[in-house]
Amino acid sequence: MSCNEFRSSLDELLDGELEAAAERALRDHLAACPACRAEVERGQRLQRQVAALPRTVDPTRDLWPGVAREIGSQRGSGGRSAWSVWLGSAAAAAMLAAVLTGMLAGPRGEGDPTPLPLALAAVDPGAGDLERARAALLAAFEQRRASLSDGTVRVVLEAVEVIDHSIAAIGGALERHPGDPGLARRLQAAYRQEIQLLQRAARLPDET
Amino acid sequence: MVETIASTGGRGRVEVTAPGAVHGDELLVRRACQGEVGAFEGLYRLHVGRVHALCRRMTGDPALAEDLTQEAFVRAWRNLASFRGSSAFSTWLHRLTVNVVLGHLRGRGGRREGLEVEGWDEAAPCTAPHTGEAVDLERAISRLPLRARTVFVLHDVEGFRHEEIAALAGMAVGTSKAQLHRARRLLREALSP
Repeated sequence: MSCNEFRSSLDELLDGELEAAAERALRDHLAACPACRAEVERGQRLQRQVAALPRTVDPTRDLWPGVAREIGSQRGSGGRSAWSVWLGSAAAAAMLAAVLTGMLAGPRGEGDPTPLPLALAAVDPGAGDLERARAALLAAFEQRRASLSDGTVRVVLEAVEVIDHSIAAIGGALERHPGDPGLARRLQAAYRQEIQLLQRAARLPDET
Repeated sequence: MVETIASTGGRGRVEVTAPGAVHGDELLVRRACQGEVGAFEGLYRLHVGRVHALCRRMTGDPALAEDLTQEAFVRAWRNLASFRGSSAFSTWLHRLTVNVVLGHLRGRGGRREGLEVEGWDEAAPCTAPHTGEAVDLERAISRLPLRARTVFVLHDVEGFRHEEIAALAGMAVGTSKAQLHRARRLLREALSP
C-alpha cells in the first residue's frame, strides 16, 4: 500500500468505519511507515481538540430585544399576543403592568421606601445567596397569598413555574458542563429574574 | 507506533440539554406554542449559546453570526407550529439554524464565489473567542474554504451525518465526504507544530 492510498482512507480509519480486512491492511502499512503514523497522530490530536471545543459561544450582546421586536411586529398581522394569553385575567393584567412598568414596585435602590416582608432587600444577590433569597421570597409569598386574588396568585405561580423549569434546565446542563461561563451566567440570570418577580409580587397591594 | 485509533470521528450528535432539561424544554415549547413570548424567551436563553456557536463557526463572521442567530430565533417562533415533538427541540432548532445560515450563504453567492475555492480563506477574520489550542482551532476553522468549513462544522462539531448534510446543503453524499476529508487535511496541516 502506498502512502497516498493510506491517506485516502485515513478518515475512515480515524472514524472506525473500515471493515476488518481493510483496517488490517492499513495497520500493516502503518507499522512500517513513520510518516503515516505521524499523520494518524495529527488526526487523533485534531479529534481531541474538536471534542474539547466549547459547545456554547455567547453573543457579544443580548439578541433577545431584537428577536422580541421582530416577534412583536407579527402580532398585528395575525400573531398571538403572548402576554395576554399568559395572563388572561384583569387582576393578572394589573400584575403584569406592575411588573413591566415598575409602577407598583416604586423606586428601586437604597431609597426604596417600600419594605420587603422579610427584609430581603438586604440580601446580597451574590451567587451563593441567590437560592436562599429565592426560597425566602417564595415563603413570604406563601404567607401573603391569602391577601391576593386567585388570578394574581395563579399568574405569579405560573411565572415562577416557567422560570423554575428554566433553572432546572440550565442547572442540568451546568452539571454536564461544569465551568461553562455562559450557562453559569444564564443560571444566575434566571434566579435573579425569579427573585425580581417575587419582590414585585410582594409589593402588590392587598386585593381581598 | 500508534496503539489505538479513535472509533468515532468528532464528538457525535450532542444534545444541548441535559436529561433534566428536556422536561423544561417541553413545558416551555408547549407554552410558546400557545403564544407565550415569555416561554419563548426561556427557550432563547437556554439555546442561544449553542445556536450562536453554530452560526459563528459556519460563517466565520462574528457580526453576521449574531444577525443570523437572531433570524434563526425569529424563524423558530414563526414555525413553532411545525414542531411536532418527534425530535428534541434542540435538534429541530439546530436544523432550522443550519437552513437559515445556508440560505444566507447561498443568497450572497457563496456557491459561485467561495464554495469551489481550494486552499485557505486568507481574508477570513479570526473569530476565536477562546484561548490556547481552541484559539488555533477556531481560527483555522474560520479560514477553511466555505464548503469544507460547512461540512466540517456540521459533521465533526455538530454531529450531523453525511446523508443529513447532503440533504441540507444540496450536495451529494460523496461530495460531503470529500469536503470533510479536505477540511481535516487542511486543519491537520494548519495545527501541526
